[in-house]
Amino acid sequence: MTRTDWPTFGRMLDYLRGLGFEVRTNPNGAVVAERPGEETWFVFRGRPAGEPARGIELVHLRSMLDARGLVTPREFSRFWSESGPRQPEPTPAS
Amino acid sequence: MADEPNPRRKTRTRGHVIADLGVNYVERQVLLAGYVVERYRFDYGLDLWLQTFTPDGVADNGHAELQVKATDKLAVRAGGTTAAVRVEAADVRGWLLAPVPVFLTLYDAAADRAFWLDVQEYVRQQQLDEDEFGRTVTLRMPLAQVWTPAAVHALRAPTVAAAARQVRGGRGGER
Repeated sequence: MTRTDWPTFGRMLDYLRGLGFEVRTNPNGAVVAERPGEETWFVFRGRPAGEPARGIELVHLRSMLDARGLVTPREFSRFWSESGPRQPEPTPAS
Repeated sequence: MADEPNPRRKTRTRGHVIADLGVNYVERQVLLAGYVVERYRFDYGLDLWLQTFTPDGVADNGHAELQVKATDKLAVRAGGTTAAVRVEAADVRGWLLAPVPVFLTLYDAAADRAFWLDVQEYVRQQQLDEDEFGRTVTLRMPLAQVWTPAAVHALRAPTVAAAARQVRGGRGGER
């Protein structure tokens, strides 16, 4: 469900921090990124920072950040394409 | 010499057709409700993400994950009130770990309609024990829960509430 040649989960969270989001881990393991003073937040499945971000998370981030007027899709695409280390495609599960 | 067919050449099966029809149907009901489904297709699957909106058209912070199964023949059980849906136990375990609601939908290709189930709520109500899962799990899809624009609308409130609970109630360590 993920690729290894694009942003890691940790890099995605760093990107959100750069946009003013505060990131924390809930006691139940969920990761919440919240922009103080605004009604804008994201909730992610908690996992190690080095794991790849999920494609659907990146798609959702792109549209939500655009909807909130924080980042244009073009700006977000630059982050997406410039962030990931180049690694082989994982073998799909049988 | 005649070309030999590539043994790895893929073919499009009825399963592929109804799977795509199912996704299309589920998405369409969301669009008719005025909401959006975001999709990401990867090598061996598809992730769907339900994005709801306020009546003023502002994107809600909450979201839900959608899973779509499709069948040509519903396996009706329990006096016609449920349909059996077999899913991989690994998938169910993953859905239970999601911090947002996960709605499993079952597309009935013969009747061109779909049903839905809140997986996390179902497991809670049925008191299913993950430790007792085999390789697959059979869930009972309620046939009264039809996937329509009205049903999608009704899922907005619990979806938004679930996200708000994570933000308000889960104060934990900084990452």
